Amino acid sequence: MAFEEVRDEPLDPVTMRERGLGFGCGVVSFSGPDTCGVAATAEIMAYMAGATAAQCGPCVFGLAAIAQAVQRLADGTAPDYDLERIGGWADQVEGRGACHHPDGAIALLRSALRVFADDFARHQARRPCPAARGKVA
Amino acid sequence: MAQVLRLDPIRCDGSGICAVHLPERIGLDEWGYPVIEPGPVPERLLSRARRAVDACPVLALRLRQVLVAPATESSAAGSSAVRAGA
Repeated sequence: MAFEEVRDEPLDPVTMRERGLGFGCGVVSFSGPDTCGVAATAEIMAYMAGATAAQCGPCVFGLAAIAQAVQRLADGTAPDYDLERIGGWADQVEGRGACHHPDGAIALLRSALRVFADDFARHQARRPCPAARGKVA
Repeated sequence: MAQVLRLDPIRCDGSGICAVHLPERIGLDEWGYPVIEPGPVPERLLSRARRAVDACPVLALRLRQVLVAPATESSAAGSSAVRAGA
């Protein structure tokens, strides 16, 4: 969710669930107005891929593939099909771990793809992103 | 009494042999790990499902009896049905 949509909502599991929201992977990343959504997502997905318990194949290989693709998008080096492939990998990974680590990661990813849709589209088209240039990426 | 395929994702190391024995119900993802069609295994496929179970080198695949056919969509309904059958 974008900040504007949840600004006045309490950070409380019950209230959030009633609105169809959840904590997802439980990672809190503060992104300012000049943060690139793609670079921020790449950073979180790299963390989630690194935090796998390495027990189930789809989590180990899926999260790594997603994290690398999001990083390629952030760097502007992604092939044209990467954004589409990320969606496909998300479907393949979700619900296939013994624990819910991959599910939390995918929930965050889907939310990021929705909230930062403009950023992702810009990066996929390799148009200049003023935010990614500089500190974050 | 229906039978469903259950995978232990921790044991599974992606040999892919199960999908060779039962391609109608088991596909492989990009990394070679099985994606199993939810719901009971049809009667006509049971013998090959057993072969897929027997072929798994790490015993990650099981056939479980369930009392009622679990709903294909809801995983919650599926797991309660398995508990009832176990």
